[in-house]
Amino acid sequence: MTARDHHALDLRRRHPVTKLAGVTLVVVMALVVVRWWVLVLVLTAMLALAALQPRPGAVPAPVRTVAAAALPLGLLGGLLQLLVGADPGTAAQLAARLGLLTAAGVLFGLVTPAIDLMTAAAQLHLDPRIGYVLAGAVALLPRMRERARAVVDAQQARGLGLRGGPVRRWRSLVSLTGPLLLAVFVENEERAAALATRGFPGSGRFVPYRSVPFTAVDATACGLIGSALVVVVLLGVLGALG
Amino acid sequence: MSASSPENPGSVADQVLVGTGVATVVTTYLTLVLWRPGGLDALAGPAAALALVGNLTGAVLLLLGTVRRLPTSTLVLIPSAIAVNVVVGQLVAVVGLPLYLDSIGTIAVAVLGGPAAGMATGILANLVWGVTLAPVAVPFSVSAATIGALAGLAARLGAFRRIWLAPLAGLLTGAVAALVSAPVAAFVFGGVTGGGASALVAAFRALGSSLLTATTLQGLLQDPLDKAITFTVAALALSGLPARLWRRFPFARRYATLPTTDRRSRAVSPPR
Repeated sequence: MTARDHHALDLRRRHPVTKLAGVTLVVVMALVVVRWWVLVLVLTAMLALAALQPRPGAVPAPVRTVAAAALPLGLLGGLLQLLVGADPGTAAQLAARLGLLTAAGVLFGLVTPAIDLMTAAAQLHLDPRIGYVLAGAVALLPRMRERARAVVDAQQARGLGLRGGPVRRWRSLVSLTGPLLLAVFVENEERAAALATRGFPGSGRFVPYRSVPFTAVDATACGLIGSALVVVVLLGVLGALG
Repeated sequence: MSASSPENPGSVADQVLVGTGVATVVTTYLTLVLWRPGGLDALAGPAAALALVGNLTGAVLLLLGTVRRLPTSTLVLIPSAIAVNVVVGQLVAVVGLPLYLDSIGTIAVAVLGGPAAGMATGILANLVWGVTLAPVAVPFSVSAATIGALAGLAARLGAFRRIWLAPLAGLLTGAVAALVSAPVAAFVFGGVTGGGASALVAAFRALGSSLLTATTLQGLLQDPLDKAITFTVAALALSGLPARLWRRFPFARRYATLPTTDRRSRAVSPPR
């Protein structure tokens, strides 16, 4: 494999639209293809693709994250079907389907920064409100986790017990949720005022500050994925995948 | 868009989008329930594709039709509410309760912003959850939208003003959400959505139920209880908010969705 090929397979460099097209193809295959071994082959190819992705910083390698999410759910699905008397082929089909659906979603999330998704949405003239909410939620998650930890620590310092009977645990949950919601509303006030001052969402066309390039590699990939999608759907309609 | 209108009906295009979205979801549901593809064979047929595509298309149409109606104060709350959904789900694990409670943020937005805001939050929450933590959540966007819409409706009717009404509203919402989720759980995931739910589906299957019946029964056993508790926790947490915070939301102000000790300052204007 040449360095250029490797560059083409680095999914972080691909446009979000290309990646969404890929996810769509995988989802359609997972739902339309009946032969379990075909689905297992596609799942293996996805894991191989995940293995080719560079590991950003100190986080686990993408292939480990994808495998850790997809394989247990797939195996659980297959085992449960066997337990209720399904034939091994159907159980394997469901296992592979669950694995594929999960792997596609997890890999997309790992290789698509929220800011790229928001920029791509703006480039496609999607309502800026949707882009704001999607990117805002992804960006807020780590901060909210930190805040939740701080609330738990503070309440425990005041004597809140997290163990005991169901009623006590339920009370503890209310004691933790209240301060968390209060902090959200206080922050929300400031953010709403800041956005209103800037005229968000505005009535004109939203021009993103940065851009995500749609390269020739993306165009080629989208063409190939689109063609594959047509073939899979046609074969499915003709019953050739059954 | 008027930021002061509590329930901006939106443009004709928005109303068409919402109407088409609702029609798509209802048609998908009725087709799957009336057609009732048989057992595990359904996994191989078009039922899975119909359940996934029909519900996702409906969710996207509902989202596009509702998000433009929301005032900025409500819109800004949605990302935080989505993060609250995820984090409270993790707090539940810390406390050790065998529940989901993963829609408290959605319900909070619905109580303050109304059914449209709740619906949009539910859909967006599942999309964000899907691309960050659990891809399984994406096809259940319509269920989350249903929870948000019904929570908003319950708030408008006063279910969050009296604490004992909140669990009742939660029970009803949970039952409807269970019915909406069942075809997706059955035909897209074969009844396997992780955790104890999968074991319950397997138990019902072992007792001779069809796949759709098993996922429906599992949902009806778990969701009403979960939503009753979620609604109660949300009502308790929101009732502690200072009135000056929640009165900034036009819907909450107009319908006085939360309890207040100062009766004179309650909104009294009748619904249009």
